[in-house]
Parts: sequence; structure tokens; C-alpha cells
Amino acid sequence: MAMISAKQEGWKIKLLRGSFLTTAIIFVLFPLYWMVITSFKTEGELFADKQTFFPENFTFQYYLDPVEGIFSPNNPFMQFFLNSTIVAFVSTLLCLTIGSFSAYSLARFKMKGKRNERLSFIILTARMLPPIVIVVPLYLIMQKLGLLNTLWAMLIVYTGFNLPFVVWMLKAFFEEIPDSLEESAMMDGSSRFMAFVKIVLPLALPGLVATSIFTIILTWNEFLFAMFLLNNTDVMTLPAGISTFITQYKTNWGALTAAASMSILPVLIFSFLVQKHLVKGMTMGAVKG
Amino acid sequence: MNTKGQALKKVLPNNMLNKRKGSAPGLSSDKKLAVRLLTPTFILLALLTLFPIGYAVYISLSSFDTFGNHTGFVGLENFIKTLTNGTFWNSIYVTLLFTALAVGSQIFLGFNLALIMSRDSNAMKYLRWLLIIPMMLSPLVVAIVFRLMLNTDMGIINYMLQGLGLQKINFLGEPVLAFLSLVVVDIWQWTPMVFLIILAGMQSLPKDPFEAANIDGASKLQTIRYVMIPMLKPVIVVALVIRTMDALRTFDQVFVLTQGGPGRATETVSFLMYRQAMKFSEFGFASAGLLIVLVITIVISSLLIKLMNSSQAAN
Repeated sequence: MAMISAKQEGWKIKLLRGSFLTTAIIFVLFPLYWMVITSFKTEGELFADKQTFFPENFTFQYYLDPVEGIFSPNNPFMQFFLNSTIVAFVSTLLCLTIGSFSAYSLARFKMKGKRNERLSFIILTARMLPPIVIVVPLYLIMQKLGLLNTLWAMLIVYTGFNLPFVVWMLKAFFEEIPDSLEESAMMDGSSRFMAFVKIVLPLALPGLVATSIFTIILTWNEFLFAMFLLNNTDVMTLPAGISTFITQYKTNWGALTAAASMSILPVLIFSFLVQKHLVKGMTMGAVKG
Repeated sequence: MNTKGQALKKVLPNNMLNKRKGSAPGLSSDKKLAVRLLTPTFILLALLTLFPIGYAVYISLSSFDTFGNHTGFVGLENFIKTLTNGTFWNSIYVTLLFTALAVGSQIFLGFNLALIMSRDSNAMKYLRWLLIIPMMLSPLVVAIVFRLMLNTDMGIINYMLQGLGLQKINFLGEPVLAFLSLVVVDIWQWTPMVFLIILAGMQSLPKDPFEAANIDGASKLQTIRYVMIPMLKPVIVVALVIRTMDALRTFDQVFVLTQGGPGRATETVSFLMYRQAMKFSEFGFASAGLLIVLVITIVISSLLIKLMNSSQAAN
């Protein structure tokens, strides 16, 4: 896009543009860099009067130490990681199954009047509710059901609260697939539902994958529900678990930054994979990227 | 009528379901399928939203002892207590000011960044991925990193300030600075999202109006002001709506960075509600507050959606 052509630009504008961009890049990357290198510094270096921008004595103790390293069996970090993985993948699978049915229904069956829009809107309102409003009564309900401190509670909550996102995203993807394909399958005698499973779902595969990855990231990062509903380190997900490091080891910044760095690694990889669909994902299909 | 249909009836307003009488017979199987496919979603959403909200209404009318045991009904007392409580209004003020400052800055910075990055080149593609990393991270982790950097004794920011010959600053210990720190952390994390949305909008704009403006001799600033911004308005409004709704519920960063302090300078609504709910005897009080917050959120959301619809209709 060259709406404002580059040739007419003076050196002043180029300089301004360059310095704004450089500042933005440093502003974004420095905190991440600082987090990662802090996890490789010895305690002496971390609290020294002179701060170092690169570790002088590179140490892996916060990762590999048999007692305090986050990868050691004594440290709950690997348990948190496992719990997060289970919760994220299972709830995403459930959410996509349930959500794809509804998304298909909203995308294809044109009901009378504005019913489609109204139903979509009702689903969207669930996304607008502030989580804090729900989590307090939900805590009491889960307590009565005996589901506090279980991964079941998290599976139910995340499946439900990611549904509006999944339905809206998949609706946008399904609407891009021409319905003539299903119609010809139905001419050949297959039912509407089978046409959806056999024709539409495979065609929408890139959309399904992108939506799953977004849902996994949302679940992976969620803190409020996890903190309320999980109080036992055996079942905590990563954000809830890492937050306990802050109070437990008040100044163990090495372990904290090591755990934080490891917890964002999967998200970075996943976000790289869905780059193409990021805008759609962030706006639930409202803006095409 | 099967049980699924009955459950759906509870969720939906009546006028949405009783239309099946007059429709053509050939379509009825399609209609059944349409409803069946929607049912699981609505049941789950009702269980997770309407049911807890109903329960919150029940709790808000009740009183509890210090162990969290129900001790009786108190009518609207909890609502009156909340509405006449200075702490509650303070948290509303903190949340609204935080949202206005953070989202306003994000729109301004995101727009300018998108303007700079809007030309296509390979280098820009990689830069773009680097610039959007913050929004993929857990707000909890982001807050931890900033807590480390803002530390008074060993934080890198104070170290650099000292290098410039300045005094150490206790960022999270001063009311105004702690509040501004939260705003900066939010700007760091979410400007990329606004940037990305506006960039996508810019790249899908038609070229003709810009060429016409160019021929008419409009300056670059005039072109941006009178051609680009009006055309981008719907996209900017989408970014504004999404960000506002998320900023109003800010919790994680407050939890890690300030715990609402110093004093109550950074106590957002979500954090105040969390704090009250942690005291079991105040469940009723907390629930009343939550329901009031719910009403405020509904009002703000519907205003934002009206804004979104009207900006899209205008184009």
C-alpha cells in the first residue's frame, strides 16, 4: 500500500518515522529480554549494585538445579505445566465441538426476521460479562458441587466461557464457504448433518485450527477463574501456580522469571502459527485481516 | 416437546421459539436441526451465566456469619450499603480513569504505529510479529516482569535513572505513580492489538480517494485527517469497544503489581470485589456490588455497541 508515496518524503519525516519505530521496538522487546536474562543470573549478580545487561556468570540453576530448579521433580512447575496443557487441550476440543455446531446453525439456517442476529448477540453478551461478576457465585456453586480444586471445574468454566469466541470465529469462517457444496452432497442423498461433517468441516480446517489455537492461548493465560477455583498446587494451572511463587519466595526472582519464560514459550510458538488470522481472532471476526 | 426444547425455552425469549407453526413442512427438519445444533451452547451458557447471576441475587439479599454460613435475609440492605460506600465509588472512579487513559493512549499510539508500518515489505512482516508479542502473553506474566523492572532497589528502571544522575523512585509506592505504572503496563500489553486491528483496516482501504486527494493538492496531514480517518472510523471503533470492555475488568495486573494500593489508589472494581469476596462474612455485600457492576457494564456495553453500529451504518 503506497497511499502516501514514499518519494516525496523529506529526511525529517524519515528520521521521525525511524526513531518512532525504533523506540517502539525497544519498548516492546526490552521487558521480554530482561525477563529471560534475569532467569540466567546468579543471585549475587541480580542484587549487585551494578546491574548487568548480559549475565556475567551464566547459570542454569533456576531451570536444572535438582532442588530448586523448575524442571526438578520437587518443584511444582512441571505439574502446573501439565495441568495447563490438559485443561487447554481438552476444553478447546469440547468447545470446538459444541461451538462448531452452533456456528454452523447460525451461519447457514436463515431464520425468520432478525432471529439469527439476535441469537448471535445473546451468545456475545456472555463474552461481555465481567468475569468477576460470575466467579464469586460460581465459587459457591462449585463448592456445593464438590468441584473446587478439580480440573473438572476448569474444564467446565473454560469450555463455557470460550464458547462465544469460538461460535463467532467459526461463524465467520463458515460464511466464507459457498453452500452449493453441501447442497450437491445432499442431492446425492446425504443428510444435512453429514454434509456438514463431511464437506464443510474439512473445508473449514484452517479456520478450525486457527480458532483452536486462539482458544488454547486464551485458556493458557487465564488467571482469575483459576485463582478462585484452585487452591491446591496439585491442580493449579500455570498462571495460578506462578502467582503462588510471588508470595512464597518473595525475592526468588530467578525461579519466577524462569517459570514465566517457560510458560510463554508455547504461546509464542502458537501465535507465530496463527499470524495470518490474528486480526480476525482479536475482533471475533468483526474485522477481516 | 423434548427436554432439550424445554431447556432452550427457558433461555430464549418466547417470541424466538413459537414461530414453528406457520412454516413450510419441507423446512421443518432443517429447523429442528438448527435448534438442536444451538441447544448445547445455550444450555452451557445459561448454566454458567444466568444461574450464577441468579445465585448472586439470592446471596445479595442474604446475610452470612464469619464462616460463610447463611444466617437470614436482609432485603436490599446490601445494595444500599454498597451504593453509599465511598470505597465502591472510588473503585468505579479508578476503573473509569484507568480505562480512559489506557485505551485513549492505545488508540493514539496504535494508529500512529499502523501509519508507519502500513507499507508492505518483508522486513515489516517480521517486525509486525515482534511488535504484537505482548498481547499474546498472560497479563499475569507481563505484570511480573514489570514488577521486577520497577523494583525500587534492584529494578533496571531505577538503575538507569541513577545512571542519569536522578533519584531512585518508588514507582509502586506512590499513589499517582503506581496508578500511572498500571496504565503504562496496559499500554505496553495492548497497544499491539489496537495497532494490528487498525493496520488491517488501513490495508483494506480503497486507493482512489487518496489519489484524488493527491491530485487536488491535499497535504499529507490533510489526507490523513479528512480522507483516511473518516474511512477508518468503523475499524477504530471496533478496537475501542473491544479494548474498553477488557480494560474495565482489569484484575491480574493489579493483583501482581499493587494489590490495589498504596491506599486505594489503584483499586479497580474487579480487585475490590475480589477483596470483599475473600472475607466470607461479606458475601452478601460483595454480591450486591457485583450486580451493580453488572448493570453498569450492561449500560456501557450497549452504549458502545450503539456507537459501533452507527459508525458502521455511516459507511
